[in-house]
Amino acid sequence: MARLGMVIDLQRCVGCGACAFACKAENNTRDRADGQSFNWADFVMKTEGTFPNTTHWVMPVLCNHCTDAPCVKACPVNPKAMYKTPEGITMHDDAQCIGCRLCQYACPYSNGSLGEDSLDGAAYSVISFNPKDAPTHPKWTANAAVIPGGTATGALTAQAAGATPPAKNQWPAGDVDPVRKAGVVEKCTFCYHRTSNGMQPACVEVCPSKARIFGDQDDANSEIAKVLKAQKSFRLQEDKGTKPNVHYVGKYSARR
Amino acid sequence: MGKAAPKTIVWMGPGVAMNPRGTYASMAVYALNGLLGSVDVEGGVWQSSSVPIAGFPKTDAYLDDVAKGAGKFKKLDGRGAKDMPAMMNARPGSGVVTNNIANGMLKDPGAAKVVLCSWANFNFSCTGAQRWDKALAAVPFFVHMVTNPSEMTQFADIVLPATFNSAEGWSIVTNMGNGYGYAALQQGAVRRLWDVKQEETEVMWLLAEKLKAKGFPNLFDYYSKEFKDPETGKAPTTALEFSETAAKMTSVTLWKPKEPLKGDAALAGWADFRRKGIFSGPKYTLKKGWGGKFNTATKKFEFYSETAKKGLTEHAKKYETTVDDILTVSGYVARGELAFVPHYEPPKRHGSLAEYPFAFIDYKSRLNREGRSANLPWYQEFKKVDPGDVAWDDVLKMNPADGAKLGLKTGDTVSVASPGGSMVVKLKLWEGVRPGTVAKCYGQGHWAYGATAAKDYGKALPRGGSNNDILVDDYDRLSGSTARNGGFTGVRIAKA
Ligand code: SF4
Repeated sequence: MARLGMVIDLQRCVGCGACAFACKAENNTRDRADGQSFNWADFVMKTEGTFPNTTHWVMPVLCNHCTDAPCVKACPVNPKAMYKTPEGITMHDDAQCIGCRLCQYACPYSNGSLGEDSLDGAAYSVISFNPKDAPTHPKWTANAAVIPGGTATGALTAQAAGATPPAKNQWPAGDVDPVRKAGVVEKCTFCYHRTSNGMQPACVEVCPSKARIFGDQDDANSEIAKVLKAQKSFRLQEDKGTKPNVHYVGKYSARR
Repeated sequence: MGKAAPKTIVWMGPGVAMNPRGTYASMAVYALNGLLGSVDVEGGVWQSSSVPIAGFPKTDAYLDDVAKGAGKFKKLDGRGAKDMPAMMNARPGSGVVTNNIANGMLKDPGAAKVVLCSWANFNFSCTGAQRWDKALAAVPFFVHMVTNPSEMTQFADIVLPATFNSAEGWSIVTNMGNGYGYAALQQGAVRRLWDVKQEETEVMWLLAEKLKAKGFPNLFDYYSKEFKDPETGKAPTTALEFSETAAKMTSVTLWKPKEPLKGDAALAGWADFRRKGIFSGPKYTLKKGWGGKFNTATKKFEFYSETAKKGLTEHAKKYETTVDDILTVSGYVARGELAFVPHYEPPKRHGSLAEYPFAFIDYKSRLNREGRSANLPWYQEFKKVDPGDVAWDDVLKMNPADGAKLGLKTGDTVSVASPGGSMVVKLKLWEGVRPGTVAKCYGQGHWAYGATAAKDYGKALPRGGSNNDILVDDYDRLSGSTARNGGFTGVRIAKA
């Protein structure tokens, strides 16, 4: 059985954001609201030093698909809504989820509620929560027009497009639905609907710098295994003992 | 650089060229590449490449006397005026000076009686933006053809919803990249959700129909007689057919070439072009200009520009004066032979250092291609990918040392004033900017660009501030390029 994981080469990454945009388009994630980012792919950013010896660095972040995933442990339902697939993907079953958010609180890479510091790359959350009894894409159910009688409302646009959101990426629903329902959490699935059909995750495919490598860490011939063998790598918050399957190599800034 | 030569690129970005005396800075870049031997070689700088595109049929037979005469009027953008040589390819008066149109309109308020404008949003996108508000307010009849209402739309008498062209319209887009020239086909790939029209073809066809009904058939005759489907020979009968026919005609040289083309595998016809959507020419030929084949007056790589000399001399002759006089009125310090070689010109600055101590640096967001993205929630959400920027906001970045001097801190609301205007934005102290300068991305500060771009569309409240309210309208007059870069506008910062 494969042991799926990802390597992000920070030296190759140019911080362009393409991965995060591709993720939103691929997975139909909604816009930020009420402390929830709904960004399955996001960034940590920092500027250090004093001008002119300034260093700026960017680190793409996503669910680490931990081998010892605290979110899975915390999930109280049976069978679990948050669970591990045999290939090691930390997956979420909307049908089982009761919206208790224990996973969000247990995950060391998540925040129950994001503040202002999430707007400049100081904080992020890999798990987001869709509030109960509220539309999951409010922009596209809204009935207010910017210019009444002049521009379309969100609801009208969705109606004309025949989808919510209107640019919905509609894959045949199987293990994962293209759009979430109210009252459940959501997170990166390593693009399960793609990767279980022989494709690469959207963020990997779109990266112009080939900074992201996805594959089977146990297959000695895979690129990910080779890179992990050849280069010094690290994972986020190793001290928490979660054993992430997302690794980082290289250094973002060329500056010493 | 010399050590790495010829695999060294001195990049001619807009920062070099788009400032009030930018011509000579860009000539310096060009000459530096020449000295390094990096022109037209691997690892160096290359010239452009393209694929052959067909033109439209001649209009001569359809022009009446009014049209013939009006076509010769002086352009409102002032190109070719004594103080605006605007020399594209060293041809005086050939460069388009869009931003100067507002000045032309203000000088001669009666000149533009009807304005038809497609997609542009000059009231936001041009430096000295306030001039456009004044100029457009005085236009008796203004039609704006746009995908979404913008600042400029607020001045329109009629708004025509335009196609989102890359998915809803027909046209050929040519460009180059990575050593290949190419042509791509924009085609009606999706069902149109709304009643929108492609403004360059469909709207023109519909206009032509109406003009014909009113007894002015020339435009309709031109469209219906001269445009024919290259496959079937059929003339268009509707606006949409006209649009597709025009796209087919301009690209026939690619999908039905007279001689086989170099580059991609031959296209089997229009249907094949539609399926593939693109045709790329052959890989760039290195040393294309070497050996006397440069596109210059001497056909050589010019350190001393005989080409500029030719253009400037021609321009001076038109005004019966000297090249020195042209340079003087156009704001350059060069005299004599210096006019034709790269040399140092002191940077021009609007506002004295005493009154406006900071140089304002306007730069492009990596999330903008041209700049129409601010109403997209994802643009706002990931605005932080512009180093130092903050999502859903528009921060003016200042070095912390300057902040300490002024007693300002991150999060303060500040007013930014220049000789041209002022804006109010949020401050961020950031080590990424040089002391003495303040920097802000272009793109935010919309007050009428949709629900996301503006903080409150109905109340005309902007999200952030528009750099173009600060930047003074000025030009590199030899090229006609609008100045945006090089810190040419000084600003004063104070707590608001
Ligand atoms: S797409 Fe690639 S280069 Fe761009 S931010 Fe993501 S990982 Fe970095």
